[in-house]
Amino acid sequence: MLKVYIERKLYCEDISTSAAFEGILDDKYLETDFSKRVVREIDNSELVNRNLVISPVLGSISTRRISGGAKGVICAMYLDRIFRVSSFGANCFPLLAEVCKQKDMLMLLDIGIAPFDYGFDKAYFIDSEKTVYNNLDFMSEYINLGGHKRDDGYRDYFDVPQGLNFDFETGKQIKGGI
Amino acid sequence: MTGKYSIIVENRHLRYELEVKRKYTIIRGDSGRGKSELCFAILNDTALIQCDLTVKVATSLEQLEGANNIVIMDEDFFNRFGVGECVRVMQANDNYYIMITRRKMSELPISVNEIYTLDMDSYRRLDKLVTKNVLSNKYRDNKEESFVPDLIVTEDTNAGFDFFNKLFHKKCACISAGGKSEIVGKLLGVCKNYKTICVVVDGAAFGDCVEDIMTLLHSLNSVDMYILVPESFEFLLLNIPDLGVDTDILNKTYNFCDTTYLGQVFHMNFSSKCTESWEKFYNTYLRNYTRDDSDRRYNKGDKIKTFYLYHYKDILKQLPELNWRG
Repeated sequence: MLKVYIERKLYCEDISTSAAFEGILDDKYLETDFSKRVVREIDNSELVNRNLVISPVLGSISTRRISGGAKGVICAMYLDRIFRVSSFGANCFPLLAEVCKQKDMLMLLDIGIAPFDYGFDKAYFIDSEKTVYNNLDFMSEYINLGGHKRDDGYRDYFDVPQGLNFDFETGKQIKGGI
Repeated sequence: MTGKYSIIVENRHLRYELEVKRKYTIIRGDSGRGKSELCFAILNDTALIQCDLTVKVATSLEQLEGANNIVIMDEDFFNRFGVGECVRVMQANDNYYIMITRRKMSELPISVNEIYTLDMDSYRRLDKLVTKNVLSNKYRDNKEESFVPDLIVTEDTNAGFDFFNKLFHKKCACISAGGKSEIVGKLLGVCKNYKTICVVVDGAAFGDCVEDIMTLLHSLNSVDMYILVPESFEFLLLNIPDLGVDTDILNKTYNFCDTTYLGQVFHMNFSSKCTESWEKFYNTYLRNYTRDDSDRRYNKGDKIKTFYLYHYKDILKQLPELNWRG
């Protein structure tokens, strides 16, 4: 299920897709059918193995040069980390919907989206403990919780640790670090 | 910094063409379209860059500093340094900044006309996100027709609201949203009570809200909503021919949006905040241009003068989709 939150909570922090992909993800996951499908559908490229991508535009490139959205979708499937919604282009959401059918995914809702266009069947707002089933209710909840006014621009990245383990059921931090 | 600059970044794989004319430009859109590839090509010196100014990709906060450069920042830059710190440095310096991000950047005055997406083909043409003067959930087949609203919502609370309220109060309801950040919430509150809603916003600084509004428009089926995005209310007023404002200033604002120019015209010192966006520039220009004329004096926080109501046709013809005769 897709779970979103708007109000930042201490020790509940999102991680960048690049940092998760290059720093945390075990590269064995780059040889799965799902990862290959992600790179094919989002980047229009062929993921040959954990080190090589063939792009119709750029030729042979390293897996590090795939798009941030593709990195994020792969990490969303194989890691339990929090990403911000703005890390993903709209073309990533159909695949994220498939991820959410297999596991819970928690995201920081920093921009408004219409998830039900992409195959999500429901979305849960942690801040209000409300589940919604259509785009209008999703945007309404996002607006009612003040998501449209929030700008998280002033968080100091160096004070708050990134990517701490998070209980996706309760929304609370699990003991332990990165 | 003033001027309009064409940038071409090209190698054997890709070609990017972009024109910048304001302090802040945004590139966003679908993943995998080559946004980060633009930065990679410049950083790794694997592309030819054609531009009259220095174009650089920032890898440190210090590289945002200075003047008369074009500085590009990728999403990872904001992840690394934090948006707040980046905003602080950008506001204090005099470059043109191109930000590749889907974040709202609501602390910056982003114009709806300076948000670009990348086209799919191998020549990376940058397309504007907003291509019309009006956003609507009605224009699904791209046919633009004029509309008669039963509710007008203005971003402005004083002069702008006063103008539309005095003109339209007999034809439809008029309310003020109470500022840019309140518009989306206000629309959600009123959308059940009206059939055709018109919203008038200052396009020159509405960029951070435009995608939330477009998503909301997309979600609404029972009401027709039209968001008019002129540069600003003051821009509409400055275009009144009887005011006698040089049309170059309005048509080529990129050459004039500068505290030096304002100081030369009005013989005063102006803070850089007055020219951080075209919206602030138009407001500052109109306020100072009319300060010595009691009949035309304009202040954003005051009621609208009769002079401007008298010239309502000059103002409304700049909003042709709004059918005010209906």
